[in-house]
Amino acid sequence: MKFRERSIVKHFRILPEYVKLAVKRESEYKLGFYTFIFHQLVTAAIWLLFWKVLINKIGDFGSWNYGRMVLLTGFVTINMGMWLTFVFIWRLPRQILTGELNSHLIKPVHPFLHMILQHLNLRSLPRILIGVLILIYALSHFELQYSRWSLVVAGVTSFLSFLTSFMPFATICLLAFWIGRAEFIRDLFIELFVFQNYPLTEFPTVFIAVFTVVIPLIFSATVPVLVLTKLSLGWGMLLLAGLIIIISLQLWLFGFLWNRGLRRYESYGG
Amino acid sequence: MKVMAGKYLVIFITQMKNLLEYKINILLKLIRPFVMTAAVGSLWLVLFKLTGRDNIGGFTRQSFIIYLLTIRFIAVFSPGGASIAEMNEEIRTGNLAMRLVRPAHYLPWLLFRNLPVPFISGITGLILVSILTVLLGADLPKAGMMLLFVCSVIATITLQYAIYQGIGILSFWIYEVFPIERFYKSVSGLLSGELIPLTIFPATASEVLQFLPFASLAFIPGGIFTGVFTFEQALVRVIVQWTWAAILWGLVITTYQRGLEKFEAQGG
Amino acid sequence: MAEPIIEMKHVCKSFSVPVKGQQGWKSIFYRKNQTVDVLNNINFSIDEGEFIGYIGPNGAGKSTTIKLLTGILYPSRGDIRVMDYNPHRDRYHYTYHIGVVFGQRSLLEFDIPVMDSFKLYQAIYELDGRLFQERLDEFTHLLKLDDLLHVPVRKLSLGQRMRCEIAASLLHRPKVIFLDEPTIGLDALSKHEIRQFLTRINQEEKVTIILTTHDMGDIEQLCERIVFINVGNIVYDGPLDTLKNNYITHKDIVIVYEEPIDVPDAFVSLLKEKNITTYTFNVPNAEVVSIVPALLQLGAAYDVSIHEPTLEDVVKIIYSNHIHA
Ligand SMILES: Nc1ncnc2c1ncn2[C@@H]1O[C@H](COP(=O)(O)OP(=O)(O)O)[C@@H](O)[C@H]1O
Ligand SMILES: [Mg+2]
Repeated sequence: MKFRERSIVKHFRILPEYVKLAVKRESEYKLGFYTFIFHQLVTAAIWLLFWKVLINKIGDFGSWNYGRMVLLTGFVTINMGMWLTFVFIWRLPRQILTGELNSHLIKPVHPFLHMILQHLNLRSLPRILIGVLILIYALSHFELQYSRWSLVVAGVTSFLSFLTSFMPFATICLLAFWIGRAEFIRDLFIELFVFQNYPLTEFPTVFIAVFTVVIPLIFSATVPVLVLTKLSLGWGMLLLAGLIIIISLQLWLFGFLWNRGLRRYESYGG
Repeated sequence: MKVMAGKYLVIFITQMKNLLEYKINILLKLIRPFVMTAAVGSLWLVLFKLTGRDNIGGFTRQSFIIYLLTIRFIAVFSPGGASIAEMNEEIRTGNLAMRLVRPAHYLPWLLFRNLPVPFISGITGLILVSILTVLLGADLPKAGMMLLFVCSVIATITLQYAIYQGIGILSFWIYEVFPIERFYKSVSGLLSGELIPLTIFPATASEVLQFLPFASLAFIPGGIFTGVFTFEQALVRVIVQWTWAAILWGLVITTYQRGLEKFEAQGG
Repeated sequence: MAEPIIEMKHVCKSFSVPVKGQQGWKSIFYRKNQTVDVLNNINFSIDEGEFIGYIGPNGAGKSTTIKLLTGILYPSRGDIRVMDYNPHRDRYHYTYHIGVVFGQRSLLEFDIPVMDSFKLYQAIYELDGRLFQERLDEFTHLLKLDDLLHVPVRKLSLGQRMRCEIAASLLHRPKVIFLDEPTIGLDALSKHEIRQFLTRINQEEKVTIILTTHDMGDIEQLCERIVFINVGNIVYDGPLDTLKNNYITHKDIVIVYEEPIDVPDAFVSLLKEKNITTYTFNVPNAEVVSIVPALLQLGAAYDVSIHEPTLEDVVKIIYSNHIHA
């Protein structure tokens, strides 16, 4: 057991190397980097426009006025930004299926962490920044009530929420160890992420339950907005605690399946 | 000429067999687009409930659902991002060379390879939507309108292929076209009427948007099917659609030829 | 006698693959699988400093064995020990001490210069800066890497890339090296350079090397011992020379006469091939010296040469024997 921990800690120690690698990769194709920023700006703008048009036409969305929708969009952007940093997870099924995992298995590394960290995607940084700017814009332009503490709790929730949406996705990708072509389930699953963008509290209870317990997407944006502008600090902390429990369960499940999967790994080809 | 067409038919059939090897996957692939429809649909049902209205932007609950399903089944015909990724990969690694040495044209080759899934799901889907429309008690379009609808759908598909192949072709000049595809998706999501019917926009904006190529992708065929337009309005819009399709295909073909001249066939 | 550095005992590996051609709707949710045995009861032990040629036809199970030995795969049955590690269970610690090259896959980052990949390896293997630099200088010299280190991998030719791959997998001074078809697709010069380098590493650093290849030139120049595997079974394990002696019992004598001759009855059984005026006789090793003069008497000889079958031929014979057996 001891060496497993050691193998994890090591990756944080050599994090600077991974980051250097990512910078190198990005600087090979600068054009891609800039078009990507542009795309991210446009995507955020499109969502804002969407809510604007909708709310202009039919009024507030229950208790969600335009200001809170802007907040929501900001949190989603941050969440997806953090996600993007580790977007290589997307390729996990292929890596498993085609035996590309080999190259991580023959090194003294934690194969999963190494694979993900070796392919850090720095395009996430501008996206996170855009998200933060949207939040600042929302908080300064609309009359939203919040306290310094609720801001902190919302920030922490938002930061951790990245794991709640990332880990189920990673776990789905692991299915490739068992069923081979998990890409199709993965693609189906990722479609659900569009729900992150919606104010889920206004949805029927079934939706809320599913998106809290089964696929905890509610924490990505809806909960941070609630914590920031609506709930008392006590409720906020409680939600945070729940979040941490969910994440621990998710991490445990992932680790369990990962180790099981490696035993079944077939290393096809070559 | 007969032999030529036969060749692409075989490409289509081969790919179809390929897909049927993994039946569960084709099932998942078919379901996938409807997650988005379910999401948008549920958002709208929530909206109808919250506002207590029965008509938003010319749509009732019922006609809105039909609208969503219709545009989804039409969108299913599109070749999808994977086809762009494939093209990008082939051009930048130089593997395109392996296709160029065969006696088949690259663009139709791609087209037919990407057709099977849309083919199955699109056709079954449109039939399903028609049945559903009748079941929900809404009117199917009259014969003339129906004809226009079919013309409109074909125009939409033609246009979609032009756009996807067009983005793929940019790989001759741009190393990575993925961000461009995402960018296109974001913009067209809103401006085509996929998320909200264009009638929800303020009047002038709505008017302008309906004549941009984006509207051709969803709002025009969807609107025709759900009876948003009069016959004359619909006719004008279908003509606009075909005009855009012609323009874009012209662009794609000339760009492709330019690209081939530039192609370096790296690697190997 | 020292303990062997690598030991495989009764190792089996099987994969489960879906049965082909399943029809009907049931197969959507449930696919029948069958087990295929890829390795059956593999046993061998290897001492420190040996250079092993691991050969066999395509699909014999060479790569599978390498993957088991490097901890990538989990054995279905049997024991594997390398340097007192169980490769799969102790994978993390074990991999500090081994180097692996898969000829058909790259370990280097495709888009960035080789040197940056090396730097990452330095961090992963926790190599001391000075030692790393020394090692790098040595390799740069031996493998002629000077001009390659600052070029993105995608711009390297196959031969250049393979030299970098080999360097990358040896930077941390592994005690055992596994090479799975490292010379595949390389030209004669690149092969030569790589062979020289491997010989040197093997002799000077006493590194144990296991090499799979289809190039008998590699084997003849590098390996003293070969392990021959076919459809999951080891069919020969021993010195290269013994294998040759066992199979090379005859030589071909090729004589070109000035005009066609009549072959006397005594020699008809030896005649292997006849092409206008060129006659090939297949003669047991021991009789060559006595028979050649007699053959030259049969007509006016124009040219004569004696051929010993190459390892290539030997291997061909073994492949076909075992496949048809
Ligand atoms: N993951 C796998 N699943 C099923 N069969 C496999 C797998 N990996 C290898 N095989 C089969 O095992 C046999 C040996 O493969 P391999 O070890 O790669 O052979 P080689 O000696 O050419 O390297 C082949 O018949 C191959 O098809
Ligand atoms: Mg092999």
